[in-house]
Amino acid sequence: MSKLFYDHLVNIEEIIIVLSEYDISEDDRQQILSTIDETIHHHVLDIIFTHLPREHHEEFLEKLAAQPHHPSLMEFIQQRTDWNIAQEIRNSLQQFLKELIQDIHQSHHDENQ
Amino acid sequence: MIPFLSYNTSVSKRKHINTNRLRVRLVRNLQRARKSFAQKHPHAVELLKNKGIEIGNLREHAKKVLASGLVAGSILLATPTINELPKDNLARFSELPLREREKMFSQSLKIHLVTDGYSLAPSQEKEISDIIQDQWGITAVPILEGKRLNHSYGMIGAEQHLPRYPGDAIYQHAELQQAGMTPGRGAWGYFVSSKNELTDEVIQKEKYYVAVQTLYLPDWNTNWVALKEWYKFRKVLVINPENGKSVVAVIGDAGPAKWTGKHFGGSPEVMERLDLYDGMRKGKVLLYFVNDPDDSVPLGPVGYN
Repeated sequence: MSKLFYDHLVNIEEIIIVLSEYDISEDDRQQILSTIDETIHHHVLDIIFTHLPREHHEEFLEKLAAQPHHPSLMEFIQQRTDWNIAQEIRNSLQQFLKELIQDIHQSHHDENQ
Repeated sequence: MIPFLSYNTSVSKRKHINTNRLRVRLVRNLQRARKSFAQKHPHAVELLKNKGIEIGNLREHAKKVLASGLVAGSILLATPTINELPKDNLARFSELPLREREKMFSQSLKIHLVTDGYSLAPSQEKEISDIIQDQWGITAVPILEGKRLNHSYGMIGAEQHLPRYPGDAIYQHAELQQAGMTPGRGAWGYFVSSKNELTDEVIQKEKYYVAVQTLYLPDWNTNWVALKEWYKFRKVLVINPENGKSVVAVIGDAGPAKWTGKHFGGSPEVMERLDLYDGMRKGKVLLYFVNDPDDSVPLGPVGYN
């Protein structure tokens, strides 16, 4: 399946490895990862729309619609804001994934109780 | 869905988990993220809707874009699904009407021409090279044999015809005579020494020539003898990113001067083929060297052969 322009900022493999420790059916695993993926899309776009000046939002979306995978989208955003967007996305998603791993482990404990 | 990897872990060693509880937690997270996004960026939700994009289906959208062939540039896919790559972009695009190809080409280029001025990052230049190769099958590069111009993207202005031999007159040029002819010779002198030596090849070179600012190259003054030989009639690709029209031309003259604010000059035919002949008679273009050691890329507008 195709990639998105910010995939290099997300260490999704970390989650995949954690999930692989557990006995989860393939369907469930795909569903879980799909839900996580969609949540990440929202987090990333939230950060972008928060820091990218409003006048560039429509142009950004045009580019996103045309080439959602392309790394130049990050360049486009970065050139229009003083904020280090890539780092912000990395930090935010790192925290999100950390909490997610805790949730997964917690679900393991729930099962054993 | 994302390009998830398969991890083979021994089933017997796997721990049990309450999948339902985990799912509930994840869905709650997602709902919170959706709600927060909608509250903070209602205009973005509307814009996304207008573009026909649902955030939840971003990857699906990426896949559709790919499948529709709108992306002529580099296509990045996860390794596990590499077999989904289009088999041959060039063959597929070749079947489309020229106008459609130019439109797609223009769309792809514009994605990479994000610059406040005329300077492009090496990564941008490389992406553009890849798009040209993908769509037209031409190897065009900003740096060739260690040589590069001061600009690979800049403003081109209309030039006049060049005299091809001593005594050449404007009425002897087949097209666009109203553009006139320069009173002096081009930077490399006459193309041939007499009318008798005029060949189709020479006619084509004068028709499709560009002027570039060799005089402002950093090493021009110290190495001009060798550089002159290298740049003389060097084949280049000139692209109007606004409409996707391109012309293969040769470097036939030096200029324009810095004070003009332009970076390149184009023969009447070059400007006409790029749709820059009328009106302001100038416009922003990409200009790349054509790597064509076998001299197999014909001069003239791209896509007509």
